[in-house]
Order: sequence, then structure tokens, then C-alpha cells
Amino acid sequence: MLSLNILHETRLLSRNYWFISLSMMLLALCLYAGHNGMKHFERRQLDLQAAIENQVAKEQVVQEVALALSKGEEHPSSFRLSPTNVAIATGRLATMPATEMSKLGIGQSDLYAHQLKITSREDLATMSFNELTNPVQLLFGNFDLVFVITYLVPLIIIAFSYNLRSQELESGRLKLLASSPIRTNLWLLQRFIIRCCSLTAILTVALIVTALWIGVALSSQLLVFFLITYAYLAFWFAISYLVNILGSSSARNSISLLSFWIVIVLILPAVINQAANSIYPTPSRVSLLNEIRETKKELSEAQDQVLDEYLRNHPELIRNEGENAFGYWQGYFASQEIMEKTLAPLVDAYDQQLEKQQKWIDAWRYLSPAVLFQDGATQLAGTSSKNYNEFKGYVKSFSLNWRAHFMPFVFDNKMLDLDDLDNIPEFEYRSSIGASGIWINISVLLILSVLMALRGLGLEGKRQLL
Amino acid sequence: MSALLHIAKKEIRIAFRERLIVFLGIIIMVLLGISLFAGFVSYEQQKEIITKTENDKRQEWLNQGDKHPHIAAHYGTFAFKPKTVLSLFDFGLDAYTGTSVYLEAHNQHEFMFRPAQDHSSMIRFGELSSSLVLQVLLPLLIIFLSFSSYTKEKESGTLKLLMSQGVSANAITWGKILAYCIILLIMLMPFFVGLILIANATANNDSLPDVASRTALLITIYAIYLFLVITIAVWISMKSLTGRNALLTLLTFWTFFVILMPKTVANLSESFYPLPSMREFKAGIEESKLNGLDGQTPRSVRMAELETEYLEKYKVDSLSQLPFNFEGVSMQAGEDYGNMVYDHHYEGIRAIFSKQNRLGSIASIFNPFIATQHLSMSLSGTDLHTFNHFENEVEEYRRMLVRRMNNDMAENSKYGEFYEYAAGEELWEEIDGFYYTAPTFFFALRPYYLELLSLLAWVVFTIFLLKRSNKKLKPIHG
Repeated sequence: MLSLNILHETRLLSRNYWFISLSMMLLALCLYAGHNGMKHFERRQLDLQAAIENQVAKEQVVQEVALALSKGEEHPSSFRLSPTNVAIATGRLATMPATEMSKLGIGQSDLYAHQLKITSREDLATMSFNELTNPVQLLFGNFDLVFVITYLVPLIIIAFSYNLRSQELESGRLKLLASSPIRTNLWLLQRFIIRCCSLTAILTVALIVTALWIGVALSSQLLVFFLITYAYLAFWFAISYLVNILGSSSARNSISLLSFWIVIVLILPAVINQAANSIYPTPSRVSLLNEIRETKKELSEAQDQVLDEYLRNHPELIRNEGENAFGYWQGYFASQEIMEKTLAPLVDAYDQQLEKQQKWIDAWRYLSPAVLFQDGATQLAGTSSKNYNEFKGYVKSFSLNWRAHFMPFVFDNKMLDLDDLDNIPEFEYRSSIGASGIWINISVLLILSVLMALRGLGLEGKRQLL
Repeated sequence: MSALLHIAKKEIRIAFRERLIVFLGIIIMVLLGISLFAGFVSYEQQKEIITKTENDKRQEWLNQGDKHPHIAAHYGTFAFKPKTVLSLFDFGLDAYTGTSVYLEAHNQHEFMFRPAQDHSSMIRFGELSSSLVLQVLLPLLIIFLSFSSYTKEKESGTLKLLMSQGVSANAITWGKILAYCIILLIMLMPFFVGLILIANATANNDSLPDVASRTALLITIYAIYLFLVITIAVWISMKSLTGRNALLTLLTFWTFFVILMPKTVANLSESFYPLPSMREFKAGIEESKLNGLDGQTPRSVRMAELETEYLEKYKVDSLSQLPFNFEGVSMQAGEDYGNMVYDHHYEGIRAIFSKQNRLGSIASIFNPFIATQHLSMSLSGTDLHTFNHFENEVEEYRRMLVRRMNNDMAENSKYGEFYEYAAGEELWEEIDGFYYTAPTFFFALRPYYLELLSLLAWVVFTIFLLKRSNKKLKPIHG
């Protein structure tokens, strides 16, 4: 039966005008989406490159001054070696370079800036990660490969599988089939598997052509991307298989399948998001801002005590030159640090509430396979919310280290020399988001597919043939 | 006329017998209810927080104590974008535009805290708002409801029967359209009544003016949009040979108009008119402030020219002989130059936004979904024009505040004495608090004339189409 089925389906598909045109359309969509991803990647990298060059030039100037002074020469810009100048004006660039995989899914990358200058002037709670983007563009989202697979591929699957059984039922051939010694649901499953394999092959070709064109090299992440795509495809074929068995007419099947699509792709993600917001309301940034400002005000009013209090906690920084030896910058650095410490519980409480919301969403993502796919795919692309939260975390902890590093220089009133410049902290973002979440997503999608196929097989002989 | 009513009655009866349709209808009503309720709760919360914070900020400004006006200008204040009452209906761009901005001398700070950054990636699937249900989901229900309106009559032969009894094609078509309109009216009535009540109850102390006319037009726009979907669905059913064909055609149209086209247009507009990055934008401003807009007039040259101008104008030898504190004047001159630089660069960005959005407006001529979406956001006060208006008002307020501080410094302090002069509450009180009022009804609609025209043209076009097809209707199947 299997070989006959394969022969039959191949013949059907090769003569099917819809199938051929849909395949061509799929290739065109993948290429257009890939092109968008590539353009986004290029823009992001170009901007990053320009930012790095700019920063290198700034650091170069400081380096040259230090070199001249180390040779015992005089330099008119020796002020550049002051700790406040290096910590604030020169600063350090925190960067989040794009991975090649980000060409496949733009994700949240259009919302965020990928380079931030770390200076001791920034305070962590109000650090801006905004990229300049048209909000209308943000609302509509990006036409990338993740969009094509999440939204459009299921529609293509529905378009060419919604009537596989009902067509036979409507033409009366199913009755004929059932009278032969075969299990019709198994026969149908085989047809579905063959169609699934055909579409998988076409999509694979389309994805490979796109990947080659836009320059995504073969990697384990790309393979996992293929796997999660296949698992998502399998889910949609499985649901269509079950609807075919349960449904009585082609029109009804298409309505049911489209209703599933709407629920899975449009309604559930929005409802989960809304529910998360209601259960763990996003804390108000406005209130946080208000409290931060209150704290800053209190600290600035008590500027003198701030320095005293700071020195009480850091006796190693006290110099013998007397009380008045410390000026504005020492007070400034000390109050910055005390402010961060005072604000930390506030900011932490805010972050914890957001974390609770995220965890809730994470737990409920299993309700929608579209979310499972999008979540896994954007993580592979390095453009998911998780990646950006991780980057923010890196930036914030680096920012604290940065200030701490310059503290002794500021209190010592010591200019930096060549060796000190070599020992300045370097920023490096290395994502430690493991693939375990993605493997869970893939497993859930596959398990759902198998369960639906088994349920379909279990309904053998229980559905009408008229 | 009675035939038309009979047909409408029969269609309604059939629709209510379809379990799937009734089920989907209930889901849509529940979703509308939930989204309206959740929108209202979030609106109330936000409003309370913003009102409280605005009051706090006002008190903070008034009670900042005696200090030099320039220090007060740096101390500055914050402005917050209030949620409009109709934003509970259409969230629009609220998740993607910043909510707070710090106002101080010398610098235009960017708007902080886009709510989308505090959400998971799931927000990119869209938010559950009433407008999403009405714009995206309800058309699907209409499609499911009406795809077989004609094909069923053709397939079962009842169309032939009806026409042989002298029922005109016009009566059949409009009877069906009337039936679907009544079904939608029954479904949506509670929702719109709820919306009107909420809008009415909160209209007086909201940042959105003309809430009544906005709500009325909003309901009209959606009525037109849904009417268009109904007429197109009935027309396609009339033109199709089988129900399956009609359904597939309608679903293809839906996918294209609602999912594919808006996203493609937005992406194409971004490719045609690329924006600079935030870094380039800020670097451009810094560079122009440093070396002048022409790249050849650094700050020191500009200041020297200003000094010479004042010395010559007042015929004195030194700045300290001027009858006012020159530092206040130079501060304001620096401020004015900074404003000019900012305007120059930001207008560039606005021009690109506008070109990008223009493409969306043009696309709305071909796609009533895009037209409805734009109009809905505009009337709800959640579109880009309202946000730009908010930004302009905030910036104007900031400039007024800084100017007043600089003028006070020029009038009341002496040249070279910075720490000796301190202003007090009297000066702080001269600066009113910042309370935002969104643009008026007509101002809000003005940029969307193409969208309005599009909807009207579509109504005329579909009525014409139906009239023509009614004349040519043949009661045969296949």
C-alpha cells in the first residue's frame, strides 16, 4: 500500500497546479524574508563597526598621551589620563554583535540598540537601550523567515491537506477504499506523511537556497533551526490529519483548520500575554522613575554626609591629607555608588516582578505551538527577549565593575599610566542561553504530532463514510 | 421589500443553526468583553499612576528650594505620556513609543521605556485589543458566515426557485447583506454600548479631547469596514461556482489583505526609506553642536560673535558693563542653537517616518484593512501623529522652562557671579505644570484623508459591483 500510495501522491502532486504554484510562492517568500533578514544584519553590523571605530579612535588618543608621558615627554592633553576622563568621557563600548543566524529571525533586535557606551555617569535603572525605529514598523513586525514559517507555512499546509479525506468522502471513493482490505486511516496517514515529506523537502530546498544566498554558514544551530521547523510542520500536518478524520466536509475542514490557526497563531499568544499582564502586572516604570528621582534628590541634598558615609564603609580610601582633600568628583563617584546600592532593592523588586511574568509566560507557552516555534527560533537567532535581557544584565554588571575599577584612582587623585590603561576592564558578551529550552520545544511539538496521529489511527472505523 | 426581509430572516435563522458559527461568535464576543475590560483596568491603573506622579513632580519642582535658575533648569522635571481613554479600545503604537522623558537644559532626552521592551517576544504576535478582534477576527467570522450565502442556493437549486417566483437578485443579495448586518449588530451592540459608557464616564478628565465625536466616528468606521467585508464576501459567493471555491478565495483575500500586505508594506517602506541608527542620530547632533550646522562654525566662534554683537549693540567695552548678566544671554543663545540643531536632525528623522508612513497611506487605497487600522489608531489617540504632537508639546514646554530660567538669570544675577544668586519659589511658580491634551478631532483626522477617501471609495465600488453582478446573476449551478 505504501509504495502505491507514494506513486499515487507523487503523480497527484506533480500534476497539481496548486502544489507547484504554492512551492514557487514558498521559495519566493523565503527569499524575500531572507533578504530582509540579511539587510537588517548588515545594517546592524555596519553600525556596530562604525561605533567600534569611533571608540577605538577615542581610546587611541588616550593611549598616545600615556605613551608620550611614559617616555618622559610633556603632552598638552595630559588631562585625558585622569580617572574621571577615562571613566566618563572615554568610557567603554558594550557591544552585542549579531550572529549569522540573526538573518533568519530579526526578533526583538529592531527594538534595541546593540552598542552602549559605558560611562560612570549612567545610572542602571534608566539606561536606554532604544534603537531608532519607526513605531509603525515595530507594530507590524518584520517580514523574516521566522514570520514566514510561523504564520504562512501552516496556511500552505492547510491549503493542500484540508480535503485529503473529505474529497474522497465527497466523491464516494472512500467507501470504495473502505471496502478493500486496508485501514483507511492508515492509508490517510501515509498520504499525510508523504505530503509532509514533500513539503519538508521543498521548504528545506527553499531554506538552503536562502541560507546560501544570504550567507548563513552550516552550523549546529542551523541544523537545530531546521529540526524545530520540521517539528512545527509535523504538528500542522498532524492537526490537519485529525481534522480530516473528524470532519465531514471540505468546507467544514477548512473552517476548522483555519479556526485552529487563528487560535494558535493569533489568539493564544495575545491571550497568554494579556493574562500574564493581569496576573503579574508589569510594574510601572513611571513609579520606579519617581522613586529613583526621590532617592537622587535626598542623596544630593545630603551630599556632604554621602562622602562621609561612603568613607566610613571604605576606610582604605581615606587619605591623610585631611577632610577637605576630597573634592567634587570623589563626592560624585561615592554618591553614584551609594545611589546604586540604595536603588538596588527597588530595581530588583521591579525586575523580579518582570521575571515572574516571564516565567508565567514561559510555562504557558506550551499552549501554542506557534509560540514554541517562535521562541525556539528567535533564541537560535540570538534575537529573543531572553538574549536581550541577558545582554542588559551583562551591561549592568559591567557598568558596576567599571565604576568600581576607577574608584581607587579617583580617591587617590592618581592619573592613569600606560600599564593602568592595559588593565582597564574589557566588555565581552557571551550568551550562555543553552539549547535545552529549544529541545523541549521540539520534543513537545513532536509529541503532540505523534499523539494526534495515534488518535487518528485509533478512530479507524469510527467515522462516517458517507 | 417583503421578499428582502424574508430572505434576511431566513439567513439569520440558518446562521443561528450553525453550531460552529454560533461558537465562533460567542468566542469573539467573549474576547471583545475581555479585551475591553482588561483595557479599562490597565487604563485606570496607568491614569492613577501618572496623575499621582505628575502631582509629585509638580510638588518637587515647587519645593526644590532656593537655587540658581540654571541649576533648576538642569534639575528639570519629567513628562509622562498619559494613556487616552480610547486607547483601551485600540492600543495602537502605545507599546512601541516611549512613555517618559526627562526635561532639562541643553539636551533633548530621548523618550524612555518602551513598554514592548518589558514584555517577552510574544508581544510581537500582537496584543489582545478590541480593535484586533474587530479588524482581524470578525472578518473571518463574516467569511465563515457568508461564503456559502449564494453557492448554497446555487448548489441546492433554490436560487432558480427563488428567481422563478419573481424575487429579484437585488432583493436576494441585499436580504443576505441585511441579515449579516443584523447578526453583527446583535453581537457588537453590547460591546459598543460598553465602550460608549466608559468613554462617556471618563471623557471629562481625559487627555483626549472630543471623545464623543471620536467614539461616534470610530463606530462608523468599523461599521463601514465590516459592511465592506460582508458585501465583498457575498459578492465572491455570488461569483463562485462552489462553496469551497468561495471559501478558498475569501480566505486567500483575508490572508493577503490582513496578514501579508500590511507587513510587506511596512517592510518595503523601511527598505525604501532607511533610517539612521540611534548612534548616528546622536553623533550627528553632537557634531553639529560642536562644529556648527555648516561644520565650520565651532561653539567658540559662535560665542565670540555673540559677545562682539552685544558689546557693539550696547556700546560697552566689557561684558560686565552690560545692564544684564551676559551669561544668561549666552546660555539662551547656546540653548537656541542646540534647539536649532536638534530640530534640523529630528526633522530629518520625522521626514523619513513620514515618507515611510505615506507608503502605508497609499497602500490603504487598495486595502480597507490598512485604512481602518490607521483611522482607528488616530481616533484612539494611539497613532504616530498623536505621539509626534505629544513630543512637540513636551519640547515646547522644555524650551519655555529653560528660557524662563535663563532670562531670570540674565535679569537678576551679575556677570561672573554664579553661586551668589539664588531664585526661589516665586520663579518656580511662574512655570505651569505640564499636562498634556491630545490634538482635536479634526486635527487628528487631517493626515488621514487618503484613508477616509479609501473607505468611501470602497463602499461605492462594492455597491456598484453588487449592482452590476445582480443584473447578470444566473440561477444555475456549475
